[in-house]
Amino acid sequence: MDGFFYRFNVWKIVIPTLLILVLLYVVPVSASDIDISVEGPGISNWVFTPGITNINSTSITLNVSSISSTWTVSVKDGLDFSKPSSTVGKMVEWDGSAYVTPNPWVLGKAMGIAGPSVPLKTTGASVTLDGSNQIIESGLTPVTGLMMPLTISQPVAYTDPHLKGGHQYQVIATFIAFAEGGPPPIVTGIVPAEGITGNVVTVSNLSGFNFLTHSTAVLNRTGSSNINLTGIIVTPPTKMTGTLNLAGAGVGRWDVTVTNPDGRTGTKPQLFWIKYPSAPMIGSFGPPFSGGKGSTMDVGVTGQGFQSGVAVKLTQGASVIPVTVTQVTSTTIDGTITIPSNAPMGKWDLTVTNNDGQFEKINGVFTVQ
Amino acid sequence: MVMPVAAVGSIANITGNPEDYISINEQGDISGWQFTQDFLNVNSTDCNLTVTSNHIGWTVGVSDANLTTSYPGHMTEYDPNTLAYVSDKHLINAMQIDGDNAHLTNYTATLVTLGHDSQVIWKGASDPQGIGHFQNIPITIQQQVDNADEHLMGGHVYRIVVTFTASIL
Repeated sequence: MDGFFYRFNVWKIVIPTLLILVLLYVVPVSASDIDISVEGPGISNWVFTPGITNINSTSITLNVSSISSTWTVSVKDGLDFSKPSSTVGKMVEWDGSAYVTPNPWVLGKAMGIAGPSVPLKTTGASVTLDGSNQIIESGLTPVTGLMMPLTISQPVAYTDPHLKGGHQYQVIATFIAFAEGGPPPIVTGIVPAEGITGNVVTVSNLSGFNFLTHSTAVLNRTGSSNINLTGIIVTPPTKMTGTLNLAGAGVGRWDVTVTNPDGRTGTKPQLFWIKYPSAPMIGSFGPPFSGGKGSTMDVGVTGQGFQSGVAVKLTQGASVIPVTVTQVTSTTIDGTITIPSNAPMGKWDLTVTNNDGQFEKINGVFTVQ
Repeated sequence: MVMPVAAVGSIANITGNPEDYISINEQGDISGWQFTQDFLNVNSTDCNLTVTSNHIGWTVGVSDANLTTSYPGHMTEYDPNTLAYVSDKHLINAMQIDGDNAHLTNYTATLVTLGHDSQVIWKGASDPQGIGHFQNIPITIQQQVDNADEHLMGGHVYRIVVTFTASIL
């Protein structure tokens, strides 16, 4: 018995102590847990040789320290100094104090940036600079003052003109280091949650958790090009604002996906609704009475706002008679129905649903007799 | 426990400018050209020029840069065996050179009567159309041969060396 109590009391001390140690070990990382600086002479007045890809592997070096075992360094063109968004990733004519407007010269191809692989410490990658955070280093272990010379490559064609008047081509590469280990972003809502196709929508609150300063967001769905949230302002970790340009956007429900700079994503399916300017409006339906059960008959709907792809059905409780649509204009729908042999007698309701999901339902417009 | 991701950033400002570049490459010679007398002999198939420039504003000049002959621009008697001009005997009319004008948005060409001084035969457009790699621009060589131009004996020929020079403005 003495031995039992001894062991019991020991574990009463050891277990809480282990818990405290574990809690201390997984203390949240903070910005001070990773550090990055760009060192080296930099690249100014690089004299490009036309007709080749110009390479510089000596002038820009990343110095990274991280106490996290997994970390990344990403790079993007941050479009600083009002650099036109159409030139993202590319070097643009700079007069010494500002980008030339309105028609600056722009090198034809974007800059390439590659990080080295350091055995057992980091895996490098080569990217073509654009507006998104692209990982050029993926750390494998904590590091202190790890120096990584970058390879900068700039293709220059003969059609890229030599600039006169002391002008230079310029781009500012923004490097961001992340200590990973945190959770992926979680999307919970978006305000507004709908928009009219063709319009520009100001998103006042894309809400969720674990958003980061450089998180990005898109509307996405299978078979469609993503719609980027632009002009993003993130209030970490729960809010994001920006603008959605719905020009040419397909109607219907879209997923909302947030991507953190470490590549982790969070998606809330079918959160955003892109609609036509108006819902369908039913004016009339005919004929008002069915033929015999099992018979097929032509039917017609008049109204407004009907769109190609519209769906029409008659319902009574759980019973459904689908309308096979044969022709649609904005104000008329022609179709056929077959009265099921077991169709309940009495009044049926009509529902017209456009392919964006907007619909109108009118009760008791059709009688099965 | 939720672990946030830490992020820090830094930037690199990169500036550069392509070096001023222009090059020309003439391809093709005309040998053993059988002239017809009292006739404007024309060859527009054997010679062409490739111009490459990243500088808006360029010219290509043409000249007879040979200082050993007394009649610049004129084909002069030459001995292929000794590789030397052997007399001042020359064709009466100077050679004319014309350029292709098929790509006026890129460059314009001018008919030039050859002389010792360089004369502009091509001028690149003064806008973005004027830069790039313009390959195999046809060159037209015109030689008016007079009835008084003497037929050469002993394997001698009339010869001229045409020099093309590219410049940026």
